[in-house]
Amino acid sequence: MELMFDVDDFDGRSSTDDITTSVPVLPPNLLLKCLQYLPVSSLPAVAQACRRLKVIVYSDELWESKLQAMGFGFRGKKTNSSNDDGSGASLLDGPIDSLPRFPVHGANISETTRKRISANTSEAIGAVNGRMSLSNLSEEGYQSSVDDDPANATSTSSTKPRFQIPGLPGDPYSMIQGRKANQGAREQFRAIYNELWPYYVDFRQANKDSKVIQEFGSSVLDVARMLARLLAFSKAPLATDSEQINENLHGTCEYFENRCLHLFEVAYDSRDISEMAKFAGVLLDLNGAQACIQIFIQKNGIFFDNNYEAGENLKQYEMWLSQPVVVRENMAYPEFTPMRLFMEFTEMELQKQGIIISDVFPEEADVLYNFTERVFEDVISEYCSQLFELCSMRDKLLYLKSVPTAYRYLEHLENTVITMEPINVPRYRIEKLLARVFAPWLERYLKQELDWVQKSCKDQIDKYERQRDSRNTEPKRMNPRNREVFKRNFLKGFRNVITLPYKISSSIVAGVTAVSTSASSSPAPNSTAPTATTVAPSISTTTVNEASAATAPAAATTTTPTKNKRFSIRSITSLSGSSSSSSTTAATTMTATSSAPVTPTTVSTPAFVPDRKSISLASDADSVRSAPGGVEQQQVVTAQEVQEEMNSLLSVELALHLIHLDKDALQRLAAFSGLGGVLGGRVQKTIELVFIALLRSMGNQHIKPGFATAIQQLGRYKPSTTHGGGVTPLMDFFELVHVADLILQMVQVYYAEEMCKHIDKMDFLNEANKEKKSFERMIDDGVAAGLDKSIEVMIDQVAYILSTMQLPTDFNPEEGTDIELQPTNACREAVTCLTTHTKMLIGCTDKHTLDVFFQELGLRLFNCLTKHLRSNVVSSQGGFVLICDLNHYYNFIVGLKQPTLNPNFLALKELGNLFIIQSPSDLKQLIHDMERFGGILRIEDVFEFAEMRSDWKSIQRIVERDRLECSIM
Amino acid sequence: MTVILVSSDNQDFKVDKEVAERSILIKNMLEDVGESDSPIPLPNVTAAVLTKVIEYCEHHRNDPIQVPEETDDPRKRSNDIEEWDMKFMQVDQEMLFEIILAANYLDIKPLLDVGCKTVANIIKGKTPEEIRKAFNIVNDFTPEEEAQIKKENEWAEDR
Repeated sequence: MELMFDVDDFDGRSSTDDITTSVPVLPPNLLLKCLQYLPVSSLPAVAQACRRLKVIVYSDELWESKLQAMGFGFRGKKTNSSNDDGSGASLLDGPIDSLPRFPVHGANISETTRKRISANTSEAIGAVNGRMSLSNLSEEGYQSSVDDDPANATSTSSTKPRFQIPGLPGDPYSMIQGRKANQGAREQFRAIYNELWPYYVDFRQANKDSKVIQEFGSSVLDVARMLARLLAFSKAPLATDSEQINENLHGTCEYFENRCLHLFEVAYDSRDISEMAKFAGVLLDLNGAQACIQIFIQKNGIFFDNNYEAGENLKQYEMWLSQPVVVRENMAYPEFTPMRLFMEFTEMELQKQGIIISDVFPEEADVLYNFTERVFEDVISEYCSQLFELCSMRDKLLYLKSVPTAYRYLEHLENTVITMEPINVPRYRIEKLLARVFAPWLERYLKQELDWVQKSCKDQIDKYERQRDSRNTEPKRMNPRNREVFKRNFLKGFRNVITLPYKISSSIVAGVTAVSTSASSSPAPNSTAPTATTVAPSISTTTVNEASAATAPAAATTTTPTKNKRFSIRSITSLSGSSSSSSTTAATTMTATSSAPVTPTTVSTPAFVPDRKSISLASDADSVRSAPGGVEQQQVVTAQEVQEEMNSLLSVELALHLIHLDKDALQRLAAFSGLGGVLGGRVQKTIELVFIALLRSMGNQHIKPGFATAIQQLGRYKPSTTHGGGVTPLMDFFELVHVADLILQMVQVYYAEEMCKHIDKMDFLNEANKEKKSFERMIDDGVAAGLDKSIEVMIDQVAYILSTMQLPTDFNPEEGTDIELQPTNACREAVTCLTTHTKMLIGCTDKHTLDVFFQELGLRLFNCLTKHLRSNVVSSQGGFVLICDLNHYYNFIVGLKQPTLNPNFLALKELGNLFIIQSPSDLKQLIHDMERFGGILRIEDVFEFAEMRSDWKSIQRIVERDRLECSIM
Repeated sequence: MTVILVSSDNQDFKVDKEVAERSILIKNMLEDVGESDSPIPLPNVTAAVLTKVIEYCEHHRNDPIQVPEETDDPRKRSNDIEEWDMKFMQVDQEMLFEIILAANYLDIKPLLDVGCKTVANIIKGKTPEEIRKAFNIVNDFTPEEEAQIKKENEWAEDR
């Protein structure tokens, strides 16, 4: 037969045995496999059949599989025990201490716990419970055994329970020792088998009182342990009828367990900690006590009987909403008090249960974590989902606030659980749990938060646009002289505000928006302000004398000077152009008049109008706390600011709103900054996205169109006569540049104060940093493009002024008229126009840009002037006037502080000499003196200017001759 | 998609790939070779046995593939055989062993288990003499040796 296999290798003996059989024989490994399915009781017969089979039956591998079977079942149940030796590894190959322990649950219980349990047991034995549990298990048999020898039972279990009980020698250590001696799985199995078989086989008769109960009935704990061991033992195939036996065994175990569970419940209901601990210990030994733990958890009232409704939060919100606005502002935004109470309740309950659990269950049973998990997954989860659902249905912002608030509470709860006494849950587990429970909500929240920021940014901008469109009044400007101070103070105030806690800063925004209601109650000086606004432009058109006259009554009436009046005065003083002394005196008188009527409390009164807002922002925190009247006043002030800002293309107010809005979102998001891992990454990403959303909407929807409109207006502008030297589109644009710069600096402050908490400033790959860069670039580009255009406009304007105002008689006065040695009107007008505009620009954008701008402007002006001058005829008398003009231009250029421009205008200044020299030969000399013109003007150019002389015709020949000579030479 | 299996006595068997892949050996082979129409030779399996094996695989074609970890079921019992399998295994002993060997070779774990269980069931509850008779085994012990072994294993007998 071809299927004959030689088993000698396996056998290890020589192959001298005659195999006289023709039976097909399987290779030993397959035979072993077959025998593994056999019950133990069938194996002796197999061993006796022949030598080869005997070898297999005696092989450790066969018995090992049975030992494994017993161990497996046990380990499979207790998943988180420390018993983690290689499950499939051969028992005999591994070191002794890595062997699976004999499957008695109690082996894993700490010594102290065991002592406690045994102590409890011993107390109880003689008394009610011993009888109760066991008499119910057996009607006759057990009862007698207890009655027969109660003293013996008590004494044995009161010391070390298991080890000294007769007939129960199987503690794991002696097992391992026995194994060492016998060196083999078969021997080890045999030892276990010998010990347990009698009890096991006893279960053949289902209804008969079990031997286990009879022998160990005196101690519930011992019964549990024995049953647990038998359960494990039964996992290996033992007898031909082991199914039936196992069924009976399981039946008994189940009954036993149910009894114990019932007693546990009884103990729970009567708050008998020691009883609970006792039965928990018993059940733990029997089968890991999962059912017991479940009962313990489920019986807690928190799961079915807590009075905390998520809807309460909504009620609180409605109540808050129903308050009048003024009251509402002094109250905080609804803080979700019901939720706080709920969380506090949960926290207390957890602490309370923690103490009970530590008394009832050993730490290894991990009950506290299980309990906490259930609390999180059932109670908190339900509460929060409900709350979030309700909030999101009621109000978007309320929802956005509810999620971070809930998270903060949960974080607090988490810390409580971590630091709880006497037992706690390790941080990593609870963090994981919290992350798992919170993840779905967080996901949704982050998305909504970002949506909200984007949407409300857009809404704010749209609203602002609508309001601007509806009010088409004259745009108001910052006081040019105090612009620097204003900006500095404003930013200082802004910085203070941005670092304020959320509550106060939000009340500022609220105050700003809620202006109209309290406007009527504003103090007198403020209510007069709007009317003054309309007066201001008309004043600016009046002459110097009238203006100074107008200033006097204003000061005399001691009304607090408003911003607009100061502006008009300023423009008037600049119109006079010459005497700086007069303007300073005006300024000093003004400050004197303004500070005189105003009493010591200068800060809170709106005396220095441009500083008002900065004061209001900076001192808001204080004034909010100090006096309600203060708040009102601040509101009025800001209200006026709003109105004034409303009309310009860019609004600082709007930017302030947007930043605050963004900051609120950021602060909500910051609640999650403690999160790590994937979720933490998402939060971080959202923080960046929220910041980016702010920059995008502010940049693309507000600043960019603003610049575009301003540049368009510049492009459309045709030079025309203006009074007071202001070209409206130019002023608009420069104003715009200032506002943009202010907004940029606000963003910078916001970025430095808030964003840098979350992102690395140096990380140039960071999306937020990139976006900020491009935001800055966008503003710079807008400024550059606008400046480019405005140079053209300014030069056109100057050319226009010169061509329209420069009279032919200016430089060629009729004989006999007195000439005034001062610049001509045209010149003065042109320079005023230039000064007004260039002064506006100072400090509005970075120095480099300005330098380039001024240089370009100077050069273009130079060209413009040379062109203009050449169209005039200059008499020797008019030459003096011309020199006055040229000096005036030169002074203006020097004022720009651009050294590279100076030579051009110096040369221009020198040109004036051409016209006052009488002798042609001297003139010739002058023309040829190239040093004088610094190489700026060529001889040809100078000749061209010389041709402007009124007497050119008569002297031309003399001068020209030399010129020809020169050219020949 | 079908594959052609060739038995040791050169008989071709055309079976669905799904069926053939019940054998881990063939499955791995197909995976290694990739798409190929070339027949797969099985030199250790006769046509008669292969017919049986294919019959088994056809019947169990939709069973979930056993995960390697589960294969060492600790609760090894011989009496949890499906009815169809039981009937399928009602063959003479020679064929039974051949099927076990083929299942082992082809790596068809469930079939191997069923075969071994069937063998175990034959042995179960039998005396040594009955076992010898059942498998045609010659007793190669001396009576003393046999007595010694019996004594050694007395503990394991169902008392």
